[in-house]
Amino acid sequence: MSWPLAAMLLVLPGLPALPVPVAAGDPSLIAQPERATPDADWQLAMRVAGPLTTTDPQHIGVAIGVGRSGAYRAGLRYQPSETSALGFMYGTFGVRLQSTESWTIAADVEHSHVWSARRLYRTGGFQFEGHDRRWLSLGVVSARAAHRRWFGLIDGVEVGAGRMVIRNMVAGRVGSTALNDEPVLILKTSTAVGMLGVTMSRPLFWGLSGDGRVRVIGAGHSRGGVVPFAHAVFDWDVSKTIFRTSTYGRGTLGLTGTHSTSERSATYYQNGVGIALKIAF
Amino acid sequence: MKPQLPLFAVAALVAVVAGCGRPTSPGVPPADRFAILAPASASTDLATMFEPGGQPRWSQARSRLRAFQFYQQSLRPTCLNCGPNNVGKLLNAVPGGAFRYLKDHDIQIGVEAGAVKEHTCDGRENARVLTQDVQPVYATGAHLTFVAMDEPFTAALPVRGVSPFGRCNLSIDDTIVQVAAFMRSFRATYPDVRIGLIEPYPYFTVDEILTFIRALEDNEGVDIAFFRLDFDVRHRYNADTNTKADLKRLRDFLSGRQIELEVIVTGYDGRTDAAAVASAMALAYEVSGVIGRPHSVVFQDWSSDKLGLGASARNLPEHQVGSLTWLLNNGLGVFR
Repeated sequence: MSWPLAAMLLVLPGLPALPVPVAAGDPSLIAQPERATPDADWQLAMRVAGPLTTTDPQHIGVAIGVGRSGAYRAGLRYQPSETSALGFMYGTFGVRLQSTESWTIAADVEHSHVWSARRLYRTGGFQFEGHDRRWLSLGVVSARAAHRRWFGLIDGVEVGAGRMVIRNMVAGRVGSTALNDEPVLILKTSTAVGMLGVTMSRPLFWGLSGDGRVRVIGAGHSRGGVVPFAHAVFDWDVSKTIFRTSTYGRGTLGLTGTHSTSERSATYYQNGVGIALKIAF
Repeated sequence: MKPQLPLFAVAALVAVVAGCGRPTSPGVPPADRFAILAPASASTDLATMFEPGGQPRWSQARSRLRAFQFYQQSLRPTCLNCGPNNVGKLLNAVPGGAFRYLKDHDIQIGVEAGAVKEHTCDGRENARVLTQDVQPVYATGAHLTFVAMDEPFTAALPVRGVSPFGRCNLSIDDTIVQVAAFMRSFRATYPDVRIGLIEPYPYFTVDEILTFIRALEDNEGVDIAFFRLDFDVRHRYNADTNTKADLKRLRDFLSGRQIELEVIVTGYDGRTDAAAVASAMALAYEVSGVIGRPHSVVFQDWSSDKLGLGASARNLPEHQVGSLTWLLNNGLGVFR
């Protein structure tokens, strides 16, 4: 997405520039509005994030997303990459199984799809690039407390299982000249994975609030042995309400980030930080 | 009165004695020189590399070399699958010959040779042939530092899957006997030459590779100086292997036995043209990420030998993307 388009999405009245989490599954996309703004049905988000480490795609990514909460809930997030219109896509669909004053128990299916290109090695005029393709599909059951926080932070747990697919390709480039007609496949593998996660939220100072989620995703075995075994992903948001009206709902602006212990996780950036604008109405 | 030897006679005697006992290396190369260049035997410019006009075209790569490896067939007066190359071309490329040139530049000389081959399964016979083949090297005052045995277990054991090459169809025990016989026979003539083993992974599992080495060293009593890993990154997904764990285990095993680990860097199909650079660099990147810098990295091209593509492989110039010397210059940085 170009900057002008991103800016246009931000300023167009009534077109909520979106919030959707940088990483697979936005902790605030579905669950948080249910609790923080019980009357909110729709959430829109825009995130502009950049890389922190050399293992990330070296460009600014603009993501847009939309979510809807309720008895049935769904979320979508989209971010193009430098080399592909399908840089990152995330979709979730779920249902509240049980909702009480204290707990909300839900079941969701999620799918993350990452097509990213990153520089692996550069010497002189030669650049060696990795073109990664990763898919992660999960079925998730989550339980989230409405009014309790363990350790002052944790308000929910989630467990899941699914499948992760990795295809690694590489290509060489000298200056602007690509040496390969198309990236060369060097690895394809997939494996069943399990997931255990916690969600966190906490009011902070100066009217800020924080949300986060830590997921550990592991597998015991895969052909080729390179699907990350027990990698952790941490998504976080620190935001502040910037408006609240009956017409436009509630808007928040803040910082967002994703951190993973593996460059092969199903996140666009292994370490990315940016800003997020969210509107719930 | 004691007879006195003339000074020149003493000097000559010292030189002879020193020559008899000299190590096979032409000096200890600096620690940061860990590259071995192994041009295809049919490469169009193999002899050109040593000619006065060709020498400046790989000066940077040459300064980084620990060793230069020839394929055994390149050392023969006639070779059907060596394109324009033969030992005569190498000897005439530069005054003193290519081997002397390498020695004078403190670059070790190695040969990749068959210890057990599909066409000759007898290790002693292969050693006899190699002993003849390497004579031109010594005749110019240079000497061999190492012999890399070209995948004898692959050639000896029954084929796995489909292969255009025949096999000796030996048992593991018989293979070990033949490989050991090759090593003993060659060392009987050249005791100081280091002999190492090349085998492919994941065609063979790491467990199998460790078994081969243990059997050779423990049962047959022959020392492996180095193990050269022929790692096919393409076929990882066809083999149920954990590459990261395997490479670390192999490294630790070899380290415990003081066997040097070497890694081959080449394109998918043994070629090093521009399109194959990505796969070659992927291999280098993957290996360096798991085990760091091996003892030696071998930049190799065998396209013309095994695939019958004629004289397609190019070594020069080093600034041309895809040439073997270009790959060496750019690939070495991955391991630093």
